[in-house]
Amino acid sequence: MTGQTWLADLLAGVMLLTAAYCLSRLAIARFGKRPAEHDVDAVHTVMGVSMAGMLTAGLRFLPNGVWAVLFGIAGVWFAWKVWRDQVAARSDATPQAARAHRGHDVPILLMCGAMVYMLLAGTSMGSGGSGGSGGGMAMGGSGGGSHFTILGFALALALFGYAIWATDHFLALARVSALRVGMLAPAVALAGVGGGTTSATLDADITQSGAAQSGAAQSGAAQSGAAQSGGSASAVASAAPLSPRLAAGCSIVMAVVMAYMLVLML
Amino acid sequence: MSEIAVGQVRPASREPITAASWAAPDWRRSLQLGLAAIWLLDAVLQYQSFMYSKGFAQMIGGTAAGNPHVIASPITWNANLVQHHLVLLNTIFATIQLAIGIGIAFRPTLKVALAGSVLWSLGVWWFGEGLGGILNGGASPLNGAPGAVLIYALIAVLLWPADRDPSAPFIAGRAAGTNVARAVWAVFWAAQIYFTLQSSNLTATGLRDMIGGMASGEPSWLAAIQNHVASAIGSNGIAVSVALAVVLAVIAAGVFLPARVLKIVIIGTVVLAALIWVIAQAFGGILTGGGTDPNSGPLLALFALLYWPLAANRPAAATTGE
Repeated sequence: MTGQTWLADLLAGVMLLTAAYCLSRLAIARFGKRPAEHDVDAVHTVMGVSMAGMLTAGLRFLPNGVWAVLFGIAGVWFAWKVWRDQVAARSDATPQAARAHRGHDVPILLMCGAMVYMLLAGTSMGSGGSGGSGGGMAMGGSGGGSHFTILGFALALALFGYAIWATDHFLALARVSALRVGMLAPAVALAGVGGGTTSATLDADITQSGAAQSGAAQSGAAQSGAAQSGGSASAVASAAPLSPRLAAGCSIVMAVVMAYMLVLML
Repeated sequence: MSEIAVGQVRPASREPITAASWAAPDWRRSLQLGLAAIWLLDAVLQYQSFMYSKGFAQMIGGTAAGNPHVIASPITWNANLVQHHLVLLNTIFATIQLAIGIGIAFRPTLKVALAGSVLWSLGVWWFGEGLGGILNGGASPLNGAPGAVLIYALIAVLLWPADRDPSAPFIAGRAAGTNVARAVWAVFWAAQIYFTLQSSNLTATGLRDMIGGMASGEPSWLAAIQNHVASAIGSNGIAVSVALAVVLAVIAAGVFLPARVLKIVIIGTVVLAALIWVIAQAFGGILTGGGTDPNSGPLLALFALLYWPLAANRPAAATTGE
């Protein structure tokens, strides 16, 4: 079946903007020495470009197979990270905050899997449209054969669930300004400090409140600790992690658009 | 996604939710998120190409059939309006549903989104679903009676973030009160019994034809399941309908039974909802590319979970929007 051309073009634009933002995060993290999740931002950048190409013919510049291999590799990487976190979480020596990190990479792993599915399922989105009212997003209907439609449907449901979960947790993510304040505060909690505690003053306490802490948070807190022990306040402030809320926003938008593409393939 | 979670403080009543005051979802919040996810799915289905075709307008117009003039006339008017402004109106419809889904998931907009959900559902129930066919004799629990979208409204009301009865034995009673929630449950399932035993559903082959007819256009594996069930029912449609009515009666009574029994009833209801969704509703026709919504299966399950017995000493858990 096909999608609406104007909608596909609009979503492709959104994906390119998202990719550009994630690329800027990588650059800022690199040159500003700001903690960030480089692997997640890099995959989001590539994912945004690839999805834009799937949505709009004019933006395709690599064969589906190449993209599928790239996301397959990324999927293996994040699967390994998930497994590693699971193993670490079972260890008594692992701090509670680090245990909360378990499962943190599952959403990006899910997205990589969905990309591989869409690419291998014979999507020919953007190939000029195959009739109907759409021209920009022509999908191969019954993606990959009718036996696999249920897989696409399951992936779409999982992405919907993730988008809703992430939206609910959005306000649990600290603002960058709050993180800066927290990193300068004497009571800053380093990675490894127990998760059930509370901080009404946004002291960058990393909790297990349902949302896992990020690698960025860990590295940010670690840098904070190092700076406290002998560094300047300004250096600490500049090392605040890049906005977790914006990163979450990117993930939510990508998940919803990806789920839409999967639904079109049914 | 970078996640730096801060704080687990219970938000003071009516204070804006901040990172410091964010609380992990309790059972009610989880159910609200379930409703949000179904709205999100509904919205994405509404953006499908089929909904931008005349088929969508014809589908709306078709729900007027068999309804009294006072009900049918606005439906026909709406269908004509949609047909003439298809792209604009369908985009608005889909975007409203998207906003409701995201709005429920985003805590500061929870109440607005739930209220919008109720209003939108009631509008669609009339103008888009012809009151779910309850007045034209075609309603059946198997085809989504009393209209899937009406169940959205019902769930939204029961999940309203108020604590009129904080000690209610299930979430549905928290906002509406235990007795009102029990009455809602009983009336809802009694209505399902009524629809099941309508004369149009008490025919020898009606059930077989309905399930077999749903197989058209479905993936082969799903069509095979449906055809197999349809042939197993054969001409025993009346007996199966009566058996279904008995099961529905047990469900209706379940809410008045002890918590341990109610748990079993709720589990059974969820299983029944899943069977209806897969076999009778074929996932709402989603796999054919022409489904406007997931139909009533997931909503029946969600509705049942609202009545899952809570622990007796459970404190009024932190939730949002209060």
